[in-house]
Amino acid sequence: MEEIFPGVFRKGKRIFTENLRPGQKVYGEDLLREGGKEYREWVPYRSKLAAAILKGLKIFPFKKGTTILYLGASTGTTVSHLSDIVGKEGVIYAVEFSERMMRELLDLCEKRPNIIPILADARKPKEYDWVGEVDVVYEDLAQPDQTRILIKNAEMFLKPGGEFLIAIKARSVDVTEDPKKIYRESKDELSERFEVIQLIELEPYEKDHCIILGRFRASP
Amino acid sequence: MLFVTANEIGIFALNREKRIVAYSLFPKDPEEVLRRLKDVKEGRRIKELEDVLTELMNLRVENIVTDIPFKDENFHIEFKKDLKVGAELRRNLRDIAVKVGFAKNHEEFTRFLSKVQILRTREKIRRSVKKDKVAIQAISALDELNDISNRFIERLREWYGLHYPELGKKVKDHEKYSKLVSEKGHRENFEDFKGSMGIDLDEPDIEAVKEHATVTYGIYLLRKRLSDYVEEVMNEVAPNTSYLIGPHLAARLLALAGSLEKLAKMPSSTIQLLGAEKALFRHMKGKGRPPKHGILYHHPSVINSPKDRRGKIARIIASKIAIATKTDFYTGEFRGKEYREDMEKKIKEVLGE
Ligand SMILES: C[S@@+](CC[C@H](N)C(=O)[O-])C[C@H]1O[C@@H](n2cnc3c(N)ncnc32)[C@H](O)[C@@H]1O
Repeated sequence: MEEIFPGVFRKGKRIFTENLRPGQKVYGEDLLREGGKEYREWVPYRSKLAAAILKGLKIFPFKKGTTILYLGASTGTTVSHLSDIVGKEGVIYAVEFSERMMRELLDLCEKRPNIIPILADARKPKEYDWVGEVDVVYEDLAQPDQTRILIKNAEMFLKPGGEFLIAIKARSVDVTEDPKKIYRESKDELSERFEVIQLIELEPYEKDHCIILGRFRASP
Repeated sequence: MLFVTANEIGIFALNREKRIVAYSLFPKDPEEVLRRLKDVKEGRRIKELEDVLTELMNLRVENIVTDIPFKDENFHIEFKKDLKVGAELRRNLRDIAVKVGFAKNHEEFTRFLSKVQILRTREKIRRSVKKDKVAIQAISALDELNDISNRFIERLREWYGLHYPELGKKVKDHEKYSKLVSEKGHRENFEDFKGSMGIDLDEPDIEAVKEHATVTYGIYLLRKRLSDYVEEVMNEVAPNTSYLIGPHLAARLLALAGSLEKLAKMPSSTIQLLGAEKALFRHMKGKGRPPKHGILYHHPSVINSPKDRRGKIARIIASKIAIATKTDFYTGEFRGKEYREDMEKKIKEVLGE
Protein backbone atom coordinates (compact mmCIF):
# COMPACT_ATOMS: atom_id res chain seq x y z
CA MET A 1 0.00 0.00 0.00
CA GLU A 2 1.37 3.32 -1.03
CA GLU A 3 -0.27 6.50 0.30
CA ILE A 4 -0.69 8.73 -2.76
CA PHE A 5 -2.76 11.45 -1.06
CA PRO A 6 -3.62 11.87 2.63
CA GLY A 7 -5.77 8.83 3.43
CA VAL A 8 -5.77 7.52 -0.16
CA PHE A 9 -3.80 4.33 -0.83
CA ARG A 10 -2.77 2.65 -4.03
CA LYS A 11 -2.05 -0.97 -4.63
CA GLY A 12 -1.38 -1.91 -8.21
CA LYS A 13 -4.08 -0.29 -10.29
CA ARG A 14 -6.61 -0.02 -7.49
CA ILE A 15 -7.09 2.70 -4.87
CA PHE A 16 -8.37 2.36 -1.31
CA THR A 17 -9.31 4.31 1.80
CA GLU A 18 -8.84 3.07 5.35
CA ASN A 19 -12.17 1.83 6.65
CA LEU A 20 -13.57 3.94 9.47
CA ARG A 21 -15.97 1.09 10.27
CA PRO A 22 -13.93 -2.10 9.87
CA GLY A 23 -15.92 -5.05 8.65
CA GLN A 24 -18.60 -2.96 6.98
CA LYS A 25 -19.06 -2.38 3.27
CA VAL A 26 -21.09 0.52 1.93
CA TYR A 27 -21.87 -0.30 -1.71
CA GLY A 28 -20.50 -3.76 -2.32
CA GLU A 29 -16.84 -2.71 -2.64
CA ASP A 30 -13.97 -5.07 -1.79
CA LEU A 31 -12.43 -5.05 1.69
CA LEU A 32 -8.72 -5.73 2.08
CA ARG A 33 -6.67 -6.35 5.22
CA GLU A 34 -3.03 -5.36 5.29
CA GLY A 35 -0.61 -4.49 8.07
CA GLY A 36 -3.29 -4.79 10.74
CA LYS A 37 -5.53 -2.29 8.94
CA GLU A 38 -8.62 -2.67 6.83
CA TYR A 39 -9.05 -0.86 3.54
CA ARG A 40 -12.10 -0.35 1.30
CA GLU A 41 -11.65 -0.29 -2.42
CA TRP A 42 -12.62 3.03 -3.96
CA VAL A 43 -14.25 2.06 -7.25
CA PRO A 44 -13.73 4.61 -10.07
CA TYR A 45 -16.75 3.32 -11.97
CA ARG A 46 -18.93 4.17 -8.98
CA SER A 47 -17.32 7.36 -7.68
CA LYS A 48 -16.27 10.25 -9.91
CA LEU A 49 -13.74 11.43 -7.38
CA ALA A 50 -11.95 8.09 -7.53
CA ALA A 51 -12.01 8.35 -11.33
CA ALA A 52 -10.50 11.84 -11.12
CA ILE A 53 -7.70 10.57 -8.87
CA LEU A 54 -6.85 7.79 -11.31
CA LYS A 55 -6.95 10.28 -14.18
CA GLY A 56 -4.33 12.51 -12.58
CA LEU A 57 -5.94 14.91 -10.12
CA LYS A 58 -3.19 17.38 -9.13
CA ILE A 59 -4.41 18.72 -5.80
CA PHE A 60 -6.31 16.65 -3.27
CA PRO A 61 -7.83 19.08 -0.78
CA PHE A 62 -8.94 16.50 1.78
CA LYS A 63 -7.14 15.20 4.87
CA LYS A 64 -7.86 14.38 8.49
CA GLY A 65 -10.04 17.07 10.01
CA THR A 66 -11.21 18.71 6.74
CA THR A 67 -14.72 20.21 6.77
CA ILE A 68 -16.68 19.61 3.57
CA LEU A 69 -19.95 20.83 2.14
CA TYR A 70 -21.10 18.03 -0.19
CA LEU A 71 -23.94 18.86 -2.58
CA GLY A 72 -25.79 15.92 -4.12
CA ALA A 73 -24.80 13.27 -1.58
CA SER A 74 -27.14 10.65 -3.04
CA THR A 75 -26.88 7.39 -1.08
CA GLY A 76 -23.35 8.25 -0.01
CA THR A 77 -20.96 6.26 -2.21
CA THR A 78 -18.37 9.03 -2.50
CA VAL A 79 -19.33 10.53 0.84
CA SER A 80 -18.38 7.28 2.57
CA HIS A 81 -14.81 7.45 1.26
CA LEU A 82 -14.48 11.11 2.23
CA SER A 83 -15.75 10.06 5.65
CA ASP A 84 -12.86 7.56 5.83
CA ILE A 85 -10.38 10.28 4.84
CA VAL A 86 -11.44 13.21 7.06
CA GLY A 87 -11.84 10.89 10.03
CA LYS A 88 -13.62 11.64 13.28
CA GLU A 89 -12.17 15.14 13.52
CA GLY A 90 -13.58 16.14 10.13
CA VAL A 91 -17.17 16.88 9.05
CA ILE A 92 -19.14 16.30 5.88
CA TYR A 93 -22.33 18.31 5.55
CA ALA A 94 -24.21 16.12 3.10
CA VAL A 95 -26.97 17.92 1.18
CA GLU A 96 -29.49 15.84 -0.75
CA PHE A 97 -33.04 16.72 -1.71
CA SER A 98 -34.45 13.38 -2.74
CA GLU A 99 -36.22 11.71 0.16
CA ARG A 100 -35.64 8.31 -1.32
CA MET A 101 -31.87 8.83 -1.51
CA MET A 102 -31.88 10.48 1.88
CA ARG A 103 -33.43 7.46 3.57
CA GLU A 104 -30.45 5.36 2.56
CA LEU A 105 -28.00 8.12 3.38
CA LEU A 106 -29.43 8.33 6.91
CA ASP A 107 -28.52 4.69 7.49
CA LEU A 108 -24.95 5.55 6.54
CA CYS A 109 -24.96 8.59 8.86
CA GLU A 110 -26.02 6.41 11.79
CA LYS A 111 -22.85 4.39 11.30
CA ARG A 112 -20.55 7.30 10.49
CA PRO A 113 -21.12 10.25 12.82
CA ASN A 114 -18.84 12.58 10.87
CA ILE A 115 -21.58 12.90 8.22
CA ILE A 116 -24.30 15.46 8.93
CA PRO A 117 -27.36 14.91 6.73
CA ILE A 118 -29.25 17.89 5.33
CA LEU A 119 -32.49 17.31 3.41
CA ALA A 120 -32.59 20.45 1.28
CA ASP A 121 -32.38 21.86 -2.23
CA ALA A 122 -28.85 23.04 -3.03
CA ARG A 123 -30.42 25.93 -4.93
CA LYS A 124 -31.61 27.32 -1.61
CA PRO A 125 -28.49 27.47 0.59
CA LYS A 126 -30.29 29.81 2.99
CA GLU A 127 -32.11 26.79 4.33
CA TYR A 128 -28.86 25.42 5.72
CA ASP A 129 -26.99 28.64 6.36
CA TRP A 130 -26.17 27.39 9.87
CA VAL A 131 -23.49 25.21 8.32
CA GLY A 132 -20.93 28.02 8.50
CA GLU A 133 -17.54 28.17 6.86
CA VAL A 134 -16.05 25.00 5.30
CA ASP A 135 -12.66 24.04 3.85
CA VAL A 136 -13.96 22.43 0.65
CA VAL A 137 -17.17 22.44 -1.40
CA TYR A 138 -17.87 19.33 -3.48
CA GLU A 139 -20.75 19.26 -5.94
CA ASP A 140 -22.21 16.45 -8.02
CA LEU A 141 -25.81 17.30 -8.89
CA ALA A 142 -26.23 16.50 -12.59
CA GLN A 143 -28.39 19.58 -13.06
CA PRO A 144 -28.39 22.06 -15.95
CA ASP A 145 -27.72 24.97 -13.57
CA GLN A 146 -25.01 23.13 -11.63
CA THR A 147 -22.30 25.80 -12.01
CA ARG A 148 -24.60 28.55 -10.83
CA ILE A 149 -25.50 26.45 -7.79
CA LEU A 150 -21.82 25.93 -7.02
CA ILE A 151 -21.06 29.64 -7.19
CA LYS A 152 -23.93 30.46 -4.87
CA ASN A 153 -22.86 27.89 -2.30
CA ALA A 154 -19.17 28.68 -2.49
CA GLU A 155 -19.86 32.36 -1.90
CA MET A 156 -21.85 31.52 1.17
CA PHE A 157 -19.75 28.77 2.73
CA LEU A 158 -16.29 28.33 1.26
CA LYS A 159 -13.43 29.84 3.24
CA PRO A 160 -11.14 32.24 1.36
CA GLY A 161 -8.53 30.16 -0.42
CA GLY A 162 -10.67 27.02 -0.02
CA GLU A 163 -10.94 24.49 -2.84
CA PHE A 164 -13.96 23.23 -4.72
CA LEU A 165 -14.57 20.24 -6.94
CA ILE A 166 -17.53 20.02 -9.30
CA ALA A 167 -18.58 17.10 -11.44
CA ILE A 168 -20.01 18.25 -14.76
CA LYS A 169 -22.38 15.99 -16.60
CA ALA A 170 -22.46 17.25 -20.17
CA ARG A 171 -25.72 15.56 -21.05
CA SER A 172 -27.66 17.20 -18.25
CA VAL A 173 -26.66 20.63 -19.55
CA ASP A 174 -27.39 19.99 -23.23
CA VAL A 175 -27.92 16.60 -24.83
CA THR A 176 -27.00 17.67 -28.33
CA GLU A 177 -23.96 19.83 -27.66
CA ASP A 178 -20.38 18.53 -27.85
CA PRO A 179 -19.32 17.70 -24.25
CA LYS A 180 -15.96 19.43 -24.69
CA LYS A 181 -17.72 22.67 -25.48
CA ILE A 182 -19.91 22.36 -22.40
CA TYR A 183 -16.87 21.68 -20.21
CA ARG A 184 -15.19 24.77 -21.60
CA GLU A 185 -18.26 26.93 -20.99
CA SER A 186 -18.57 25.69 -17.40
CA LYS A 187 -14.90 26.36 -16.89
CA ASP A 188 -15.22 29.90 -18.26
CA GLU A 189 -18.20 30.61 -16.05
CA LEU A 190 -16.30 29.38 -13.01
CA SER A 191 -13.16 31.30 -13.96
CA GLU A 192 -14.99 34.55 -13.51
CA ARG A 193 -15.29 33.93 -9.79
CA PHE A 194 -12.63 31.32 -9.05
CA GLU A 195 -9.15 30.25 -9.92
CA VAL A 196 -9.66 27.10 -12.00
CA ILE A 197 -6.80 24.70 -11.38
CA GLN A 198 -7.60 21.62 -13.42
CA LEU A 199 -10.22 20.06 -15.68
CA ILE A 200 -10.20 16.28 -15.77
CA GLU A 201 -12.23 14.20 -18.20
CA LEU A 202 -13.39 10.97 -16.61
CA GLU A 203 -13.32 8.59 -19.59
CA PRO A 204 -13.27 5.60 -19.55
CA TYR A 205 -14.82 5.47 -16.07
CA GLU A 206 -17.69 7.85 -16.83
CA LYS A 207 -18.84 8.90 -20.26
CA ASP A 208 -19.36 12.61 -20.94
CA HIS A 209 -18.34 13.67 -17.45
CA CYS A 210 -15.54 15.84 -16.17
CA ILE A 211 -14.45 17.18 -12.81
CA ILE A 212 -13.26 20.73 -12.39
CA LEU A 213 -10.97 21.60 -9.50
CA GLY A 214 -10.58 25.18 -8.40
CA ARG A 215 -9.90 27.58 -5.62
CA PHE A 216 -11.93 30.38 -4.13
CA ARG A 217 -10.52 33.86 -4.29
CA ALA A 218 -12.00 35.99 -1.54
CA SER A 219 -14.11 38.70 -3.16
CA PRO A 220 -12.46 42.09 -2.65
CA MET B 1 -30.87 46.08 24.72
CA LEU B 2 -29.99 42.38 24.40
CA PHE B 3 -30.58 39.64 21.86
CA VAL B 4 -32.01 36.32 23.04
CA THR B 5 -31.78 33.31 20.74
CA ALA B 6 -32.27 29.56 20.77
CA ASN B 7 -30.12 26.97 18.98
CA GLU B 8 -29.17 23.31 19.18
CA ILE B 9 -27.13 23.68 22.35
CA GLY B 10 -29.17 26.08 24.46
CA ILE B 11 -30.57 29.56 25.01
CA PHE B 12 -28.20 32.50 24.61
CA ALA B 13 -28.31 36.22 25.35
CA LEU B 14 -25.93 38.49 23.45
CA ASN B 15 -25.22 42.19 23.55
CA ARG B 16 -24.90 44.61 20.65
CA GLU B 17 -21.24 43.70 20.25
CA LYS B 18 -22.40 40.09 19.77
CA ARG B 19 -20.72 39.01 22.97
CA ILE B 20 -22.47 36.30 24.97
CA VAL B 21 -23.65 37.74 28.29
CA ALA B 22 -25.78 34.87 29.55
CA TYR B 23 -26.64 31.34 28.49
CA SER B 24 -28.18 28.12 29.69
CA LEU B 25 -27.28 24.85 27.98
CA PHE B 26 -29.61 22.00 27.02
CA PRO B 27 -28.91 18.48 28.16
CA LYS B 28 -26.67 16.72 25.64
CA ASP B 29 -29.45 14.48 24.38
CA PRO B 30 -30.56 15.00 20.74
CA GLU B 31 -34.18 13.99 21.34
CA GLU B 32 -34.43 16.22 24.38
CA VAL B 33 -32.92 19.11 22.43
CA LEU B 34 -35.44 18.79 19.62
CA ARG B 35 -38.30 18.63 22.11
CA ARG B 36 -37.09 21.83 23.77
CA LEU B 37 -36.61 23.67 20.51
CA LYS B 38 -40.14 22.69 19.53
CA ASP B 39 -41.43 23.88 22.90
CA VAL B 40 -39.84 27.31 22.69
CA LYS B 41 -40.91 27.69 19.10
CA GLU B 42 -44.50 27.11 20.17
CA GLY B 43 -44.25 29.71 22.93
CA ARG B 44 -43.83 27.41 25.94
CA ARG B 45 -41.49 28.53 28.70
CA ILE B 46 -38.71 26.02 29.21
CA LYS B 47 -36.27 25.89 32.08
CA GLU B 48 -33.29 27.14 30.08
CA LEU B 49 -35.22 30.22 28.97
CA GLU B 50 -36.25 30.89 32.57
CA ASP B 51 -32.60 30.63 33.61
CA VAL B 52 -31.49 33.20 31.07
CA LEU B 53 -34.38 35.57 31.84
CA THR B 54 -33.63 35.46 35.56
CA GLU B 55 -30.07 36.42 34.81
CA LEU B 56 -31.21 39.26 32.58
CA MET B 57 -33.48 40.52 35.37
CA ASN B 58 -30.47 40.60 37.67
CA LEU B 59 -28.58 42.54 35.03
CA ARG B 60 -31.50 45.01 34.91
CA VAL B 61 -32.07 44.46 31.21
CA GLU B 62 -35.26 46.07 29.91
CA ASN B 63 -35.36 45.55 26.14
CA ILE B 64 -35.06 42.21 24.39
CA VAL B 65 -34.99 41.40 20.69
CA THR B 66 -35.53 37.67 20.16
CA ASP B 67 -36.29 34.86 17.72
CA ILE B 68 -38.22 33.01 20.44
CA PRO B 69 -41.91 33.85 20.70
CA PHE B 70 -42.49 34.38 24.43
CA LYS B 71 -44.22 36.88 26.67
CA ASP B 72 -42.86 38.39 29.85
CA GLU B 73 -44.14 41.46 31.69
CA ASN B 74 -40.71 42.25 33.06
CA PHE B 75 -39.29 43.11 29.67
CA HIS B 76 -40.12 45.01 26.56
CA ILE B 77 -39.88 42.29 23.90
CA GLU B 78 -39.56 42.53 20.16
CA PHE B 79 -39.97 39.27 18.19
CA LYS B 80 -37.89 38.82 15.04
CA LYS B 81 -38.14 35.55 13.17
CA ASP B 82 -34.83 35.88 11.35
CA LEU B 83 -32.50 37.22 13.95
CA LYS B 84 -29.13 37.95 12.30
CA VAL B 85 -27.20 37.64 15.54
CA GLY B 86 -28.80 34.25 16.15
CA ALA B 87 -27.92 33.02 12.66
CA GLU B 88 -24.34 34.12 13.11
CA LEU B 89 -24.09 32.33 16.44
CA ARG B 90 -25.34 29.14 14.83
CA ARG B 91 -22.73 29.36 12.09
CA ASN B 92 -20.03 29.29 14.75
CA LEU B 93 -21.73 26.70 16.90
CA ARG B 94 -18.92 24.15 16.50
CA ASP B 95 -16.47 26.46 18.22
CA ILE B 96 -18.93 27.89 20.70
CA ALA B 97 -20.12 24.46 21.83
CA VAL B 98 -16.56 23.63 22.82
CA LYS B 99 -15.92 27.03 24.41
CA VAL B 100 -18.96 26.91 26.68
CA GLY B 101 -18.32 23.29 27.57
CA PHE B 102 -21.31 21.72 25.82
CA ALA B 103 -18.92 19.37 23.99
CA LYS B 104 -15.40 18.28 24.87
CA ASN B 105 -14.11 18.90 21.35
CA HIS B 106 -15.22 19.34 17.74
CA GLU B 107 -15.43 15.62 17.26
CA GLU B 108 -17.93 15.19 20.05
CA PHE B 109 -19.99 18.13 18.81
CA THR B 110 -20.10 16.76 15.26
CA ARG B 111 -21.33 13.43 16.58
CA PHE B 112 -24.06 15.25 18.51
CA LEU B 113 -25.12 17.47 15.60
CA SER B 114 -25.22 14.48 13.26
CA LYS B 115 -27.70 12.75 15.59
CA VAL B 116 -29.83 15.89 15.80
CA GLN B 117 -29.91 16.19 12.02
CA ILE B 118 -30.73 12.49 11.57
CA LEU B 119 -33.73 12.83 13.89
CA ARG B 120 -34.85 16.05 12.23
CA THR B 121 -34.57 14.59 8.75
CA ARG B 122 -36.44 11.41 9.65
CA GLU B 123 -39.18 13.53 11.18
CA LYS B 124 -39.36 15.71 8.07
CA ILE B 125 -39.66 12.67 5.81
CA ARG B 126 -42.31 11.14 8.03
CA ARG B 127 -44.35 14.30 8.04
CA SER B 128 -44.20 14.94 4.32
CA VAL B 129 -45.32 11.39 3.63
CA LYS B 130 -48.41 11.72 5.78
CA LYS B 131 -49.43 15.23 4.90
CA ASP B 132 -51.14 14.17 1.69
CA LYS B 133 -53.84 12.63 3.91
CA VAL B 134 -54.38 16.01 5.52
CA ALA B 135 -54.75 17.64 2.11
CA ILE B 136 -57.32 15.02 1.09
CA GLN B 137 -59.45 15.67 4.17
CA ALA B 138 -59.23 19.42 3.67
CA ILE B 139 -60.27 19.35 0.01
CA SER B 140 -63.16 17.00 0.82
CA ALA B 141 -64.31 19.34 3.56
CA LEU B 142 -64.04 22.24 1.11
CA ASP B 143 -66.19 20.47 -1.47
CA GLU B 144 -68.81 19.77 1.18
CA LEU B 145 -68.75 23.38 2.27
CA ASN B 146 -69.34 24.39 -1.34
CA ASP B 147 -72.48 22.27 -1.40
CA ILE B 148 -73.67 23.54 1.93
CA SER B 149 -73.08 27.19 1.11
CA ASN B 150 -75.01 26.78 -2.13
CA ARG B 151 -77.97 25.36 -0.32
CA PHE B 152 -77.87 27.97 2.42
CA ILE B 153 -77.66 30.90 0.03
CA GLU B 154 -80.47 29.56 -2.12
CA ARG B 155 -82.68 29.31 0.93
CA LEU B 156 -81.66 32.74 2.18
CA ARG B 157 -82.35 34.43 -1.13
CA GLU B 158 -85.76 32.84 -1.37
CA TRP B 159 -86.64 33.57 2.24
CA TYR B 160 -85.43 37.16 2.44
CA GLY B 161 -86.74 37.68 -1.07
CA LEU B 162 -90.25 37.53 0.34
CA HIS B 163 -89.49 40.66 2.30
CA TYR B 164 -87.18 42.54 -0.07
CA PRO B 165 -87.00 40.87 -3.50
CA GLU B 166 -85.21 43.83 -5.14
CA LEU B 167 -82.02 43.22 -3.18
CA GLY B 168 -81.54 39.85 -4.85
CA LYS B 169 -81.27 41.42 -8.27
CA LYS B 170 -79.03 44.23 -7.10
CA VAL B 171 -76.51 42.09 -5.18
CA LYS B 172 -75.41 39.07 -7.18
CA ASP B 173 -72.44 38.18 -5.03
CA HIS B 174 -73.56 35.56 -2.49
CA GLU B 175 -71.10 36.44 0.21
CA LYS B 176 -71.96 40.12 0.06
CA TYR B 177 -75.68 39.35 0.02
CA SER B 178 -75.53 37.24 3.18
CA LYS B 179 -73.37 39.83 4.90
CA LEU B 180 -75.79 42.65 4.08
CA VAL B 181 -78.83 40.76 5.33
CA SER B 182 -77.08 39.70 8.51
CA GLU B 183 -76.10 43.31 9.23
CA LYS B 184 -79.23 45.20 8.21
CA GLY B 185 -82.14 42.89 8.90
CA HIS B 186 -85.26 44.88 8.12
CA ARG B 187 -85.43 46.34 4.60
CA GLU B 188 -85.98 49.78 6.15
CA ASN B 189 -82.31 49.78 7.01
CA PHE B 190 -81.42 49.89 3.29
CA GLU B 191 -81.30 53.31 1.73
CA ASP B 192 -83.45 52.75 -1.36
CA PHE B 193 -85.95 50.20 -0.10
CA LYS B 194 -88.91 52.41 -0.92
CA GLY B 195 -91.32 50.98 -3.41
CA SER B 196 -90.26 47.41 -2.60
CA MET B 197 -92.76 44.81 -3.76
CA GLY B 198 -92.05 42.48 -0.83
CA ILE B 199 -94.29 41.73 2.11
CA ASP B 200 -93.79 43.36 5.49
CA LEU B 201 -92.36 41.20 8.27
CA ASP B 202 -92.55 41.47 12.05
CA GLU B 203 -89.51 41.69 14.29
CA PRO B 204 -89.40 37.93 15.18
CA ASP B 205 -89.70 37.02 11.49
CA ILE B 206 -86.82 39.36 10.67
CA GLU B 207 -84.71 38.01 13.50
CA ALA B 208 -85.09 34.46 12.21
CA VAL B 209 -83.98 35.23 8.65
CA LYS B 210 -81.22 37.50 9.93
CA GLU B 211 -79.79 34.68 11.98
CA HIS B 212 -79.85 32.40 8.96
CA ALA B 213 -77.97 35.09 7.03
CA THR B 214 -75.32 35.29 9.75
CA VAL B 215 -74.69 31.56 9.58
CA THR B 216 -74.61 31.66 5.77
CA TYR B 217 -72.06 34.46 5.81
CA GLY B 218 -70.02 32.50 8.34
CA ILE B 219 -69.95 29.53 5.99
CA TYR B 220 -68.59 31.72 3.20
CA LEU B 221 -65.84 33.02 5.45
CA LEU B 222 -64.98 29.51 6.55
CA ARG B 223 -64.90 28.38 2.95
CA LYS B 224 -62.46 31.10 2.05
CA ARG B 225 -60.14 30.22 4.92
CA LEU B 226 -60.32 26.53 4.12
CA SER B 227 -59.56 27.24 0.48
CA ASP B 228 -56.42 29.17 1.46
CA TYR B 229 -55.46 26.35 3.76
CA VAL B 230 -55.81 23.74 1.01
CA GLU B 231 -53.57 25.87 -1.15
CA GLU B 232 -50.96 26.10 1.57
CA VAL B 233 -50.92 22.37 2.33
CA MET B 234 -50.89 21.41 -1.33
CA ASN B 235 -47.92 23.66 -2.04
CA GLU B 236 -46.09 21.69 0.58
CA VAL B 237 -47.34 18.21 -0.34
CA ALA B 238 -47.19 18.49 -4.12
CA PRO B 239 -45.62 21.79 -5.21
CA ASN B 240 -45.12 20.76 -8.82
CA THR B 241 -48.61 19.41 -9.44
CA SER B 242 -50.12 22.39 -7.62
CA TYR B 243 -48.22 24.84 -9.78
CA LEU B 244 -49.09 22.91 -12.92
CA ILE B 245 -52.88 22.73 -12.58
CA GLY B 246 -53.68 24.79 -9.49
CA PRO B 247 -53.73 23.52 -5.90
CA HIS B 248 -57.45 22.73 -5.76
CA LEU B 249 -57.65 20.58 -8.84
CA ALA B 250 -54.43 18.91 -7.73
CA ALA B 251 -55.98 18.17 -4.35
CA ARG B 252 -59.08 16.67 -5.96
CA LEU B 253 -56.91 14.35 -8.05
CA LEU B 254 -55.08 13.38 -4.89
CA ALA B 255 -58.37 12.59 -3.17
CA LEU B 256 -59.52 10.47 -6.10
CA ALA B 257 -56.22 8.57 -6.17
CA GLY B 258 -56.13 8.10 -2.40
CA SER B 259 -52.55 9.19 -1.77
CA LEU B 260 -49.65 10.96 -3.39
CA GLU B 261 -47.84 7.67 -3.74
CA LYS B 262 -50.72 6.08 -5.63
CA LEU B 263 -51.12 9.11 -7.86
CA ALA B 264 -47.38 9.19 -8.58
CA LYS B 265 -47.49 5.57 -9.68
CA MET B 266 -50.45 5.95 -12.02
CA PRO B 267 -49.97 5.97 -15.78
CA SER B 268 -51.17 9.17 -17.40
CA SER B 269 -54.06 7.36 -19.12
CA THR B 270 -55.50 6.52 -15.69
CA ILE B 271 -54.99 10.06 -14.45
CA GLN B 272 -56.83 11.39 -17.49
CA LEU B 273 -59.91 9.40 -16.50
CA LEU B 274 -59.81 9.89 -12.72
CA GLY B 275 -63.30 10.91 -11.68
CA ALA B 276 -64.91 9.39 -14.78
CA GLU B 277 -65.20 5.90 -13.33
CA LYS B 278 -68.98 5.80 -13.67
CA ALA B 279 -68.94 6.75 -17.32
CA LEU B 280 -66.17 4.26 -17.90
CA PHE B 281 -68.15 1.40 -16.38
CA ARG B 282 -71.21 2.37 -18.33
CA HIS B 283 -69.15 2.28 -21.49
CA MET B 284 -67.67 -1.11 -20.63
CA LYS B 285 -71.14 -2.51 -20.18
CA GLY B 286 -71.80 -1.43 -23.72
CA LYS B 287 -73.74 1.72 -22.93
CA GLY B 288 -72.50 5.14 -23.92
CA ARG B 289 -69.28 6.40 -25.45
CA PRO B 290 -65.90 6.11 -23.77
CA PRO B 291 -65.16 9.11 -21.53
CA LYS B 292 -62.36 11.44 -22.60
CA HIS B 293 -61.75 13.12 -19.29
CA GLY B 294 -62.69 12.83 -15.64
CA ILE B 295 -62.19 15.59 -13.19
CA LEU B 296 -59.68 17.20 -15.55
CA TYR B 297 -62.77 18.44 -17.36
CA HIS B 298 -62.68 21.29 -14.85
CA HIS B 299 -59.29 22.48 -16.00
CA PRO B 300 -59.82 25.84 -17.76
CA SER B 301 -57.97 24.70 -20.87
CA VAL B 302 -60.34 21.75 -21.25
CA ILE B 303 -63.61 23.37 -20.35
CA ASN B 304 -62.96 26.47 -22.47
CA SER B 305 -61.90 24.61 -25.60
CA PRO B 306 -63.98 23.35 -28.50
CA LYS B 307 -65.54 20.00 -27.75
CA ASP B 308 -63.58 18.05 -30.35
CA ARG B 309 -60.22 19.13 -28.85
CA ARG B 310 -60.99 18.46 -25.21
CA GLY B 311 -59.89 14.85 -25.21
CA LYS B 312 -56.53 15.71 -26.74
CA ILE B 313 -55.95 18.55 -24.32
CA ALA B 314 -56.92 16.41 -21.34
CA ARG B 315 -54.35 13.89 -22.53
CA ILE B 316 -51.61 16.52 -22.66
CA ILE B 317 -52.45 17.75 -19.18
CA ALA B 318 -52.62 14.23 -17.77
CA SER B 319 -49.24 13.29 -19.15
CA LYS B 320 -47.63 16.35 -17.54
CA ILE B 321 -49.42 15.61 -14.26
CA ALA B 322 -47.92 12.13 -14.35
CA ILE B 323 -44.45 13.70 -14.45
CA ALA B 324 -45.19 16.40 -11.88
CA THR B 325 -46.58 13.96 -9.30
CA LYS B 326 -43.52 11.75 -9.70
CA THR B 327 -41.26 14.72 -9.06
CA ASP B 328 -43.37 15.62 -6.02
CA PHE B 329 -43.29 12.13 -4.63
CA TYR B 330 -39.76 11.01 -5.40
CA THR B 331 -37.62 14.12 -5.16
CA GLY B 332 -39.69 17.10 -4.01
CA GLU B 333 -37.57 19.40 -6.15
CA PHE B 334 -39.42 22.29 -7.80
CA ARG B 335 -39.68 22.14 -11.59
CA GLY B 336 -43.31 23.21 -11.90
CA LYS B 337 -42.51 26.26 -13.97
CA GLU B 338 -40.89 24.39 -16.83
CA TYR B 339 -43.61 21.71 -16.74
CA ARG B 340 -46.31 24.31 -17.06
CA GLU B 341 -44.61 26.23 -19.83
CA ASP B 342 -44.18 23.04 -21.78
CA MET B 343 -47.79 22.00 -21.20
CA GLU B 344 -49.14 25.37 -22.29
CA LYS B 345 -47.03 25.28 -25.42
CA LYS B 346 -48.45 21.89 -26.39
CA ILE B 347 -52.01 23.00 -25.71
CA LYS B 348 -51.52 26.02 -27.94
CA GLU B 349 -50.36 23.75 -30.73
CA VAL B 350 -53.52 21.66 -30.47
CA LEU B 351 -55.65 24.78 -30.57
CA GLY B 352 -53.67 25.93 -33.60
CA GLU B 353 -52.72 29.23 -31.99
C1 LIG C 1 -25.13 12.02 -9.72
S1 LIG C 1 -25.93 11.88 -8.16
C2 LIG C 1 -24.61 12.08 -7.00
C3 LIG C 1 -23.75 10.86 -6.75
C4 LIG C 1 -22.83 11.04 -5.56
N1 LIG C 1 -22.15 12.30 -5.65
C5 LIG C 1 -21.80 9.93 -5.45
O1 LIG C 1 -20.76 10.03 -6.11
O2 LIG C 1 -22.03 9.04 -4.65
C6 LIG C 1 -26.79 13.40 -8.03
C7 LIG C 1 -27.62 13.55 -6.75
O3 LIG C 1 -27.91 14.92 -6.56
C8 LIG C 1 -29.23 15.06 -6.10
N2 LIG C 1 -29.67 16.40 -6.48
C9 LIG C 1 -29.93 16.87 -7.73
N3 LIG C 1 -30.28 18.16 -7.69
C10 LIG C 1 -30.23 18.54 -6.39
C11 LIG C 1 -30.48 19.77 -5.72
N4 LIG C 1 -30.86 20.87 -6.39
N5 LIG C 1 -30.34 19.81 -4.38
C12 LIG C 1 -29.95 18.70 -3.69
N6 LIG C 1 -29.71 17.52 -4.28
C13 LIG C 1 -29.84 17.42 -5.61
C14 LIG C 1 -29.99 13.94 -6.76
O4 LIG C 1 -31.15 13.59 -6.04
C15 LIG C 1 -28.95 12.82 -6.80
O5 LIG C 1 -29.06 11.99 -5.67
